[in-house]
Amino acid sequence: MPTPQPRFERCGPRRSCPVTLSAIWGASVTRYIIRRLVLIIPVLLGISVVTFGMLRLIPGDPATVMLGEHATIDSIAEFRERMGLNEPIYVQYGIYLRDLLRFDLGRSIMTNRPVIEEIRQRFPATLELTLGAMGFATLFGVSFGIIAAYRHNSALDVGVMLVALLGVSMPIFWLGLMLAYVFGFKLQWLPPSGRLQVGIELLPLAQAWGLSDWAATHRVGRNLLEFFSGFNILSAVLTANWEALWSSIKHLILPSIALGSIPMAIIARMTRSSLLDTLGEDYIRTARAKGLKERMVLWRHALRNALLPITTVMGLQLGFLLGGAILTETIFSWPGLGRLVVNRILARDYPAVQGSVIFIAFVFVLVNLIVDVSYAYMDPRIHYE
Amino acid sequence: MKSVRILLAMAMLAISLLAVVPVAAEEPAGTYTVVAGDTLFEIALAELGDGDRYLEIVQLTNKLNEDDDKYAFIENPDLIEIGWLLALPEAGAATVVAEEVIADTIAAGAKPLGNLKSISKIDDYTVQFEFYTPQPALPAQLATPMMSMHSPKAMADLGEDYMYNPVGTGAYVFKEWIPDDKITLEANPDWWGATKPSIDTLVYRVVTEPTARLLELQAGTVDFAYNLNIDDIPTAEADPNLVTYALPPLSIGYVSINQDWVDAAGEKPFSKLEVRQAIAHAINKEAIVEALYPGTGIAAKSFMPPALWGYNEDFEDYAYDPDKAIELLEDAGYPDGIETDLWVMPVSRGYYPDPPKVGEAIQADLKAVGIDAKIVSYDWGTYLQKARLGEPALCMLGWMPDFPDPDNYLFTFFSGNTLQWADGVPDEELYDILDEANSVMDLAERERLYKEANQRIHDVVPGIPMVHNGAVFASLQGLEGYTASPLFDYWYPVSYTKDTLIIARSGDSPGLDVADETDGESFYIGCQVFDSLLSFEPGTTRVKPALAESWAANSDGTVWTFKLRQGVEFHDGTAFDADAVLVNFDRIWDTEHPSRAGHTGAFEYFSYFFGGFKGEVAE
Repeated sequence: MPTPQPRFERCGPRRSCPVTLSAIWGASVTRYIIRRLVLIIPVLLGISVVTFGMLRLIPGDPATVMLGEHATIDSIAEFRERMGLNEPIYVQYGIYLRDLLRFDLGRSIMTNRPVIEEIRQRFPATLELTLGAMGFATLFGVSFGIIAAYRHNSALDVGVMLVALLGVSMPIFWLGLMLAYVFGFKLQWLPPSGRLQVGIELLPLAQAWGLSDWAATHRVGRNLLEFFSGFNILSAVLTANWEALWSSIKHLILPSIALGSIPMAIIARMTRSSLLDTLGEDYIRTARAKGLKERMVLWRHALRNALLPITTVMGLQLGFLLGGAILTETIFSWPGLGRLVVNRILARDYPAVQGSVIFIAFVFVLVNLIVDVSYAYMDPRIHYE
Repeated sequence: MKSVRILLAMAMLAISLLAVVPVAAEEPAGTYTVVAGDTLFEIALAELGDGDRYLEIVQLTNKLNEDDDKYAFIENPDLIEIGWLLALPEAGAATVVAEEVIADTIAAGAKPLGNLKSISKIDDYTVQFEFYTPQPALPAQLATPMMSMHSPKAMADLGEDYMYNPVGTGAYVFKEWIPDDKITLEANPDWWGATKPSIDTLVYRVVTEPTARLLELQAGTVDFAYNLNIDDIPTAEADPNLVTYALPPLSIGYVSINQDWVDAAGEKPFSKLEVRQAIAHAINKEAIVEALYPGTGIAAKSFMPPALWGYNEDFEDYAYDPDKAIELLEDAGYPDGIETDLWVMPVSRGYYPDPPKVGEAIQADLKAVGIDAKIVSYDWGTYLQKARLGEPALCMLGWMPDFPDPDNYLFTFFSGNTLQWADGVPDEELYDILDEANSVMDLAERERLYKEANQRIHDVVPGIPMVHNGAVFASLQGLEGYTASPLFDYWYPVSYTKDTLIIARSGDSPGLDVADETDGESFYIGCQVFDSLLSFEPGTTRVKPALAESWAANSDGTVWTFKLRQGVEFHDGTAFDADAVLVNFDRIWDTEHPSRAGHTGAFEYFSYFFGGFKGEVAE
C-alpha cells in the first residue's frame, strides 16, 4: 500500500509552493478559514439575543438613569418616546437586528454618539493594555517555565512555581490596588493611574504628519489614523515623540502586571510541563548527542515543539484578558472599552453595551481563529478537512 | 381711547370663548380614569398621541365639570388624584391655538405650566423677558451655568457635535476632551472680567475612587481633589502638605414616608399623623450625625438648610423620645408595632456618603419602638423609578441644590412632579403656600411664606429630615484666592504656584452643552468655559452682573429687562449681543429650533425654571 500523502504539505526550502489564487483556493486551510468565518455569524447572533435579553431583564429605566434625580415625569416620558423604549420588545429587537446586519451598532442613549465611534475611541487603549499584559505574561511565564523545567524538582523550580501560584491566586482588583499603592504612591517609581503624564503632549497622527486637511475630507482615512493614534506607544514612535514614548511605557507597566499576573502563572505552568515532555523526546537526545549547545537545543528544537499547547493557552487567555481588563481599567483610570461597558451597564445604555459586547465577542472569535490557523503553520502534522 | 381698549379686550375674550366653544361639546370624545403613577403628560401621550396636549384635557375636563360633577376639576395640572375622571378631546390634530388654551386655563384659576411668554430684543444690547405670572427667582436662575450663553455660530455649525466642543465667552477656553480620561482648558487672556484668569491650564482628570483621589494628592500627581471620603478627612487635615476646604452644609438627606403605603393587613398606617410623629420621635438623629458625619454634618429639622433664607429657627424638632413614640403608636392603634420596609440608597451621595450605615442605624432605632423595617435596595435607576411610582414605604433620598432658593428644595419635594418623593405629597395647604411664595416679588414676603411652609412641613411630617452635609475638597499648598462653593466653582480669581492645575473628580462629564445637562461634573467645566447673563459671587449665593451689566423688573415681576455688556466676543470670535441671547433662549424654548441638539434634548433646567417650552401652534 502506498504511503498516504499528507493532505496539507508544508511549503519551505525543499518544496516550492506557487502562491496563485487557485493554489490558495485549493488549499484546504482556506476552506477551513471560510467555514470558520461563516460560523461566526450564528455565534454573534446568539450573543446578540442573550445580551439584548439580559439587559432588558435588569430592572431600571435608561430614561430615569440618564435624566437623574432632577428629572421630571414629563421629561422621562418624552425621553422614552424619543429613544423608542416604549415599543414592544420584539420590535425593539427587530430594529436592533436590522441595524446590526447593516453593521450599524446604533447610537448610545447616554451620549447620543454612534456606538461604533465610542468603541473606536476606546478600543486601542484596551488593546494596548491587553498586549502589554500578554507581553508580560509571555515573557515572564515562558522564562519561569524554562527555568523550572531545566531545574525541575529543585528549590528554584518550587520557588518559581510558587511565584506563579501567587500570581494566579491574587484577585486582579486587589493586586492592582497594591501595585498602585506601593509603586505609585509609596515608592513613586511608577505613575499610579492614567495613560500619559499630564503636560506631555502626544499629537494625533493626522495632526503630527500635517494631514489634518486631508483627513477632514477622507472619512475612512481619518478613522484609520484616529484608530492608530489611540495606541500611545505606537503613536509616540511614529511621531518620534520620545518623551511621550517613555511616559506611555511607564504608565503601561503596572496595569500590565496586574492584568497579566494570572495568564503569566498559567503560561509558566504550561511551559514547564510542555517543555519537560519535549525535553524527554528522542530527537532532543539526538540533538544533544550531535554536540549542539543547549541554547540551540532549546530554541531550535525543544521550544518550537513545546510551543503548541502554550499557544493554545495564550489564545484562551485572550478572552480572560479582554474581560479582566474591566477591573484593571477601573483601578488605573485607564480609558478603555472595559470601563465603557461597566459605566454603560450602570447607565442602562442598551445600545452601547450591546455593541461593545458584540464587538468584544467578534474580536475574541477572530483571535481564536487566527490561533487555530497558526497551528497549521507551526505543526505540519495538522491538516484541515 | 380707553373705550377702544375695553372694546378690544371684550372682542378678544369673545373670540377666545368662541374658539373654546367648539371644543366644549356635551359629550367628550373619550374619558379616562386616573390610576396610580399617572401624569397628565403621559395620559395625553398615550391617549391623544401628543403629551403637550395635556392642557386641552385640563381645559375640557374643567369645562365639563361645571355641568357635571363626575368630571374632576383640575386646579393644578401637577396634582391629579387617583380615581379622577378626565374628559378627552379628539385624538389627532389639536384644534385650539396653544396661547388661547393657556390664557383660558389661567382665567379658570389653574396654574399654567409654561410661564415664559416672550423674549424680545429691544435694541442690540437690551433684552426683555415677559412672563405670564411673576418669576421672582429669575436673577438666581439666570446666574446658573444651565442658562449660560453659547456661540450661535458654533451651535449651528456643529449641531449634535457641539456638546463635545463647547464655545462660550468664559475665562477659560475649551481645548481638548479625551473621553473617560481628561478635559483640558486654557486661560482666555481676552476675557471681559475685571480679574483675568491667572492659572494657564486646567486639566480635569477622572479618578473614580475618593481614596485614590487623596492618594494622588499626597503623591503630588494631582493638585486638587473634589469630594473626599468622610473617613479620609482626618488624614487630609493632618497632612501638612495639604489644604482642606469644608463646604457649608447645603444638602439634605431625608427619609420619605409614603402615606399611601398599604401594609399586610390592608391598612395605611402612615396615613395617620401620630404614626409619622412616632417615627420622628423614634430616630436619634444627633447620634447618627455625630457617629457617621463627624465634623461635616448637622442634624436636620427642615427640608432646607439653615444657611438659606426662609429657614425657620422658631420651632423645635421632634425630640428623640422612644417612649413617646411607643405611646403614639399605641394611640394610633398599633400597640404591637408595624412591619414595613426601609429603602436604602445604593449609591453614595454628598448627603448620604454611606447609606447602608445610616440605614442600619435608622432600622435599629425603629426596631426599638416596635417598627420592624426590612432593608430594601435596588440599583440607582430602578430605585428612583420605583420611588416615584410609590412602591417604598419608608425611603432614603436626598437633594443637592441647583441654585440657592428655597423653592429649589421645597417645591421639588412637595409638588409631585419629580422623582424625589413617593408619588408626591398631597397637602393642599402646603402647596398653596409654596405656590404663593413663588409668585410674589417682595423678598421679605417670600421669606415669611417659606418660614410658614417650613412650619407646616414640620407639623404635617411628610417625612423625616435627617442631615445637612457639607462636602470636603482638598488641594496642595499654593492655591490663593480659592473659595470653595457648594454650587459652582470658578477658577478665574485663583492663582497657583504652577502653570497647570490638575483637578481630580469622580466621573467624566456626560456632555458640555450645559444647558442640557444635569450632572455636576458637566457644570464644573461649564462654569469656566461659559458665562451667563448674571453670575454668583464666587463662594456665595449673591447674584452679580456678568454678561448683563444691569437689570430691572416691573413691580410684579412679570417683565424683566436686561442691559448687556458691550464688546464681548465668544471664543470663536463671533460677537455677543442681543441676537445671541435670543438664539440661546429660543433654541431651548422653541422645540423646533434647528440648533436644539443639546444632549438628550430634554433641557430639564429650562423647563424646571420656566415651567415648560413654547406651545405648538396648530392649524
